[in-house]
Amino acid sequence: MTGAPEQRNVKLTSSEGTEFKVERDVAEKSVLLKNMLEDVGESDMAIPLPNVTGPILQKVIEYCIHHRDDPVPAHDDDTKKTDDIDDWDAEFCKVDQGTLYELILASNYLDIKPLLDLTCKTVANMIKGKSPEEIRKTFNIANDFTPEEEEQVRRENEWCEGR
Amino acid sequence: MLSIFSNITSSRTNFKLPLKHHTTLQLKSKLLILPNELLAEICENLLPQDLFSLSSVCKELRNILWSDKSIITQQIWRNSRHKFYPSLKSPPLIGMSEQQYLWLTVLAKKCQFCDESDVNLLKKYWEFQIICCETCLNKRMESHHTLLTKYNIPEDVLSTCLCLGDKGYLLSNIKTAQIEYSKAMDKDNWVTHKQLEVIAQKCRIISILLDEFHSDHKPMINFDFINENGSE
Repeated sequence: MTGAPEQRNVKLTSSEGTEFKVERDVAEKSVLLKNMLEDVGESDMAIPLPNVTGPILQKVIEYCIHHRDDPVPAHDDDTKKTDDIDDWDAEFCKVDQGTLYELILASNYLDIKPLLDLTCKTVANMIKGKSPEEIRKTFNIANDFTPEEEEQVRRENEWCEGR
Repeated sequence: MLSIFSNITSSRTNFKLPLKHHTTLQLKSKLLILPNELLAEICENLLPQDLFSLSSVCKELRNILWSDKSIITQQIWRNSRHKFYPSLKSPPLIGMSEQQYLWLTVLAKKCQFCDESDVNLLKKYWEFQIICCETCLNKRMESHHTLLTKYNIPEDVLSTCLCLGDKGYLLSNIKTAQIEYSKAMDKDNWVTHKQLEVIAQKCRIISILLDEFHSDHKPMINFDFINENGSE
């Protein structure tokens, strides 16, 4: 606890064993890594991240580098009220759906709240204003209701049932 | 409200494995691979209208988004209400799900029984938890006097149901109460319990009416699609 401003690199290993070197303040965007680094202290050992693949870890690091100087988000829900996504973030999220879900899972695992919010918002924007059929098309979901069930769903939605 | 989807699984922990009824993982949309709590994160950004659409997409989403009992489901709808309709602070009526509450407060635009959509003819009746036109309402109501004399409903049973002033009671409510009353072992106890619930329910109605009085229930964020195809 010297408080010296020197930056030590942190080594991370993705699920397939690829090693990534990042500066400590970048790694600490992840609450999981921040806590780990605080517990372990200075170490040259790479931190294994068996739940995150190399390409996803690369993306996550790219995000953390860009946002390294952002203030730490406050713990209240007020931050959620901003619905707009800035240009860099929007560009960052222009990836295929599979990558987007993996980013959601990774940001949840690594505990990077702003990235989790961003990716979830991006998926939400793909749902907003769409009909059920349009949502099925967007997300490649099969309609597995029988005609009777579909009618039931329609009636439940309108609360006509049983009255 | 009975549902064909009443067997709700509240969480899917082994999300990496295909669910039993799916033969291959490829058939399953990747969106549905996300665990429930992350799906809930996504839903935090959705208007109630969008939640209604999403819950009509497939069985699995129906299970996650429609359960009256699941805490996570009710929390998703409650979050949407708080975020997009902050003036609607009161909790739903007793026995009412968040999604039914949102439907009645902000989404319903036609009579529940005859599809009448002329706003001037429609009215919400919190006492009965319905929105309908007067014709349909009258068909489903009976006065206190008629119920007592013609149908021989005990006064005790009537006292456990909400009524619309002098106009009377909703027949389906009376029917349900009558059945419960006949089944109750300790009838006095049941009646007292139900009477207290009526009082509590009236308090909640007042609270909702005050919320409605203080706002016109326009969502915080106004998207053009809301009136177009917000609900299916």
